[in-house]
Amino acid sequence: MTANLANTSDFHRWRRTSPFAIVFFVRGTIRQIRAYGQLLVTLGLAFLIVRARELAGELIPAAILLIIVVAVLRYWFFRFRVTGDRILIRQGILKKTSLDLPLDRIQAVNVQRSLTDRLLGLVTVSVDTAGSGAVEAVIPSVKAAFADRIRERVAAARREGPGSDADVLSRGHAGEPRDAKTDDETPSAGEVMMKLPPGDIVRIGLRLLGDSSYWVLPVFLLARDPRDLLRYLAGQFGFLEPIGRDEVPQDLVSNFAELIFRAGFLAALVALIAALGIYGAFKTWYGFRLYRDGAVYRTRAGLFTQREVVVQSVKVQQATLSQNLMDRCFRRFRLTVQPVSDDDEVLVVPLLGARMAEVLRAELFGREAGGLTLLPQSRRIVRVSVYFIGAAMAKMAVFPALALAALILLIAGEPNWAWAQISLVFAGICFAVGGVVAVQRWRRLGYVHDDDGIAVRSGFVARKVEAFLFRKVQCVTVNRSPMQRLKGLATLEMHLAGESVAVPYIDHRVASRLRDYILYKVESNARWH
Amino acid sequence: MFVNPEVPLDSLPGTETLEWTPLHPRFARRLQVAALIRAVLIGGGWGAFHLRVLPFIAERLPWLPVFAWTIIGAFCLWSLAWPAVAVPRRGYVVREKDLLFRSGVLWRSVKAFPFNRVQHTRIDSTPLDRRFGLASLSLFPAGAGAGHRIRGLGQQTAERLRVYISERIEADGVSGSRDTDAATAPAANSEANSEANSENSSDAAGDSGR
Repeated sequence: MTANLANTSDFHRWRRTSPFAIVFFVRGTIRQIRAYGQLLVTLGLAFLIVRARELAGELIPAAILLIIVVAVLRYWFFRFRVTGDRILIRQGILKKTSLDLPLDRIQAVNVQRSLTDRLLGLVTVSVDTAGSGAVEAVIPSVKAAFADRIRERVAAARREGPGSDADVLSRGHAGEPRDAKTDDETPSAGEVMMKLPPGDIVRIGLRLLGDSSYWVLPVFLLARDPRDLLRYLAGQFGFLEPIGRDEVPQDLVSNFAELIFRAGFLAALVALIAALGIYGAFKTWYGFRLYRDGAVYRTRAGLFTQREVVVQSVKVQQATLSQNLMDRCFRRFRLTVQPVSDDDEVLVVPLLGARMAEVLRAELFGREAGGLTLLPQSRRIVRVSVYFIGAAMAKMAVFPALALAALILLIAGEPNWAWAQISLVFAGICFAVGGVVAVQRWRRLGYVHDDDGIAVRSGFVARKVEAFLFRKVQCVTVNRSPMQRLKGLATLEMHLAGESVAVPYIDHRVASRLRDYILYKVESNARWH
Repeated sequence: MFVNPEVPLDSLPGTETLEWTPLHPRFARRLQVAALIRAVLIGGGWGAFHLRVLPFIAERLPWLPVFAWTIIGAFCLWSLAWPAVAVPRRGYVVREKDLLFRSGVLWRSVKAFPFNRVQHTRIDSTPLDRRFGLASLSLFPAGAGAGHRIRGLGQQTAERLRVYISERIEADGVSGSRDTDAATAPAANSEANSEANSENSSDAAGDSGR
């Protein structure tokens, strides 16, 4: 069996990967089914369990068998070949696809190791190309050295190809030719910049509490009695006799007991979310390490499936530091580094302190943009114009209020007192909520820039700072609404490869000058990836 | 050696004094014709519905016919009238290093595309466009999704712009572009335009002004 295990010495012929890739294809098939109809599949399963138990004994094994057969077929038809200047992949059972990736177009070679992969010393290599809608190639279950070989070849191809940043690349990659190590657990990855102790991973897990605080509290407050909800769900799924809302037993209704019960329910809910979050955090981030190897940064983490993400600092488009409510309690942040590639391959540092954030920012941007900051609390960040509040309120309050008034009028047929009352009350709510949201968003908005780059802060409850170099910009827009023109304001929108960042409601002259300056920077520096 | 002198902000070329080149004069007419066709289709479709289906559900929804015809009428009138207002507000400027495109009547925007970030370009024209001698030019910066489409250029203007931009891409391509699409595109017409770069924008203006 090990005979056709990705033998890395011979690159040039068509090969299959190792049969262990079947596990990968099983997962891929399941993921595909889920993507096509998550709701449908869930409902189908629920239906099967609740209503058609007698059929389940036959249907479920049949489905599993089908998935395995599909996976084996997909494994059988998956072939790849690496030639001197390109990677070729042929795959597909019915719909055949063949991928042709020129090596000099490849932006990143990332590595992922599932549990089976790790037991066998194999890796899953995913190859990323530039631009959006890029075809991404995934080669499952090959030897770890294979990824290193491809990386070296990519670096070599880029060096030969017409690229100005080849020198930077070579410093990162092929400068130290890496031997195919026999010990797959520790291929050389450079100097360790950061590790996460278990305590920090627990904190990452608690982030989920911060992210879910938006809906947990409202849901809790709106549910008249949580027991109703539980009983209702149980009744629907046939575990209990369905009951009406009025038939709730009255034995616990003294206010105090009610309060205790509600508190207990909330605590249980919070504990459940925290437990889920912590499990997820350990699954994804266990053993997190950030390495630096010249101009190349890589992270490795994962309890079962170990994922490796590699980003070269020349390819970094944007660095985002975000902080949700929970992070704020811990005084920690989350850093996302976006290279030229798909969303999957962003480099994430899930938890880091303010000092580390600034160190990493300085390293990622090199000597440029020394005047920037990623920290949302920085005093250097300038707020945008107060007129933002009015405009945001108009968007969030005036239009919904008018729309609802019109709708009710349409149904009522003619203006009357009830219509006016409902519309007024709804308008009042819209204005109250919209006003709070607008003020809060305005408080978050701000920007700071120096000669080389800009950092933009935004957010609502959480806050984030997005920073990038001017020379990474792909195109710039200056937008002006009627109100902005009246007040001499403008919105500056900068489009990067992948995302766009807007600074709303700044002085029009400032926006235009920044735009002109960005154009100058873009023009005088052709390197953006 | 890498030199990076400081630049005084006020010395940068601004956009205040630019002469915006308008789109092709027939473009507004083309949009109106499209709107008319759409209006006829929508009106016909709803008319059939009105005659065939509406009698059966009319008791329950007495307000529907008036409401629907008002909305359809307003929409059609709007889409017939709006191009005459909006199209004159659109315009572009070709500078040596970038292309500016402005649009919007109430919500105005000025978009700037630096040539050395454009990955490739595309010209397309619908049958209706061709009847009016128009074409659309799309610019694709890296990773910006569908790119930006400038509609309503004269066919010759669009072609000239494409060649000019492709050439600029190629000029920068020594360091910036690895995109073979962009690099191979201007090969065919390179000799005619190699020295005419500076005149191109004025040519384009003449073309659309006729």
